[in-house]
Amino acid sequence: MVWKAVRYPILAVAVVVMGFPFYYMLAVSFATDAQIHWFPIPVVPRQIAWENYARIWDVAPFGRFFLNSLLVAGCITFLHLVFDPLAGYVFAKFRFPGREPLFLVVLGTLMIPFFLRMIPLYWLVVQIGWLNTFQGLIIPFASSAYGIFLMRQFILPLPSELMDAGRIDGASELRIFTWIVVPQLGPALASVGLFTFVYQWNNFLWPLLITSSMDMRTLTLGLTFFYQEGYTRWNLMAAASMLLFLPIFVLFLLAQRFFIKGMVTSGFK
Amino acid sequence: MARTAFAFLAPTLVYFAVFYGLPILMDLAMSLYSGTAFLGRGGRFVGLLNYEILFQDGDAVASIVRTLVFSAGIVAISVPCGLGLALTLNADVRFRALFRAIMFFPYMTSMVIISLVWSVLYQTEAGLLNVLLEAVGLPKVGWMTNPDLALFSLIFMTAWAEIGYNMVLFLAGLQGIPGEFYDAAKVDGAGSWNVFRHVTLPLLAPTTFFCTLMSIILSSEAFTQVFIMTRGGPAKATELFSYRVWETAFNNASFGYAAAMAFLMFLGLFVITVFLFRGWRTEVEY
Repeated sequence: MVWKAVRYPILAVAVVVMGFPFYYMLAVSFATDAQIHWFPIPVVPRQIAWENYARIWDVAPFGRFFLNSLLVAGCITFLHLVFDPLAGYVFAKFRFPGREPLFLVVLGTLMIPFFLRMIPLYWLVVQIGWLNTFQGLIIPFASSAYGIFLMRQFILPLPSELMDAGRIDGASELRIFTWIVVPQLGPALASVGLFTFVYQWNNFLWPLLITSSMDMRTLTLGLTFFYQEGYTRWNLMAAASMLLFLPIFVLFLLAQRFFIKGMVTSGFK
Repeated sequence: MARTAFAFLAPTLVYFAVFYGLPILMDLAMSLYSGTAFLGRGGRFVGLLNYEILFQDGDAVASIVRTLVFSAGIVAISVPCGLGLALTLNADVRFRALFRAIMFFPYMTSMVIISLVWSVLYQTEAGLLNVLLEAVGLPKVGWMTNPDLALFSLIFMTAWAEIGYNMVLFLAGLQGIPGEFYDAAKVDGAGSWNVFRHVTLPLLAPTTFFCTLMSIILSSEAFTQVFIMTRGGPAKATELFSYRVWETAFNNASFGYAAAMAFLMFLGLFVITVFLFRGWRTEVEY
């Protein structure tokens, strides 16, 4: 009974703790230059400096950063959506020597911290001449054990008779995959696609390592430019953060259940 | 059949060979060379010297200990809080979906944004946290500037971002517990604390294990917040091992030494995983 009584107070505290930083970012983004010098930056701004959102474009080419992020995260997501289902399909429905060990090796890569690959990946990119290129940002992240695993889990329960029927009708294997298997994968594709996109959209370390010119920077890197000017213009930085924040926020609002389903399926079962 | 299988798998196998297999072997190879082998002139084969140096390098060892504290702190905050929120939101609560979304959202947000917002909140002179402290009559605190406190501030912020992830996994775990278990416990007259302690918690053990492991892996790779907020300072108080690996490689160009550090990080995570997994197995088999 005590439990029931404290439930809403607990939730109220949790909502403030978890949600307030986001609200405050919005409030800071509307603060005037004078207000960011007279800390604290007001929680409820009395005057709203809309012009902050126009001024960020003078600090750095945020439009370009935005497009770079979109292109990189978009291409990586596309590659995942092509290759993860293919591999997942093979691991779920094909019998061939070495399947189990191969699958274990792929799954095992989940245990590999990025830092173990970081320096040699950098070396590799230098060798191929991909420093400061889109290929260099995209190709090293073209697939993941997570996506393959999720696809395999999703394809396993599909009846094999469906694919056999296709074979009897004389359809090629690629045709069976694209016309019979892929149409069943809607929710799994949504989960993998959304997760991959968000993860890559937020990626910071890799673009930091391999991009060097303004026109190749991504949005996450662009935001750090506000720090390099002696004092930090918090209001402009918060306004620019919205460029990074809003696409994910909208995606999340539209497709929350796919995010959660994807996470839960990858966790167990 | 096998031929189709390999044809379909070919891109994936090539990808994993080139972008996982090769780098892992390369890292091991680089770690046996001094200086900038492979990534520039110089560098000679030194065997295990880099690893020997690593264990005698006081700053490196300190950063390993710091990372262990960081990980433990994040687990200690984000796993229980995630479980608590999951228990609260598993019940019949109004606006449940909205609450869940709010709790989960920080996990989806870029660590860059989280670092920026918390930098403002953690400001010493007039950050909101210190304003709150002053309002209740406490002195200001150097959240990011006091070496004794800075690591804790980073732990709190990072745990904050991960609570929602644990909550979602715990919610799934709770929904996987059949109702009969609770009915049986009720028939036996167990109070709600006893039900939680002897029914819910043991049955959630796999979830707890998974959340703990994921938190440890994620926090061992924490980099962005250190890079943006502290650069390892003040007085190296927040210099995590991951940050040190990056610094050694890309600031000091000691690629061989950094490769050895990265390999040690992998070994450490591997040992922790095996250790946790064993502990979890004995816990569950009762």
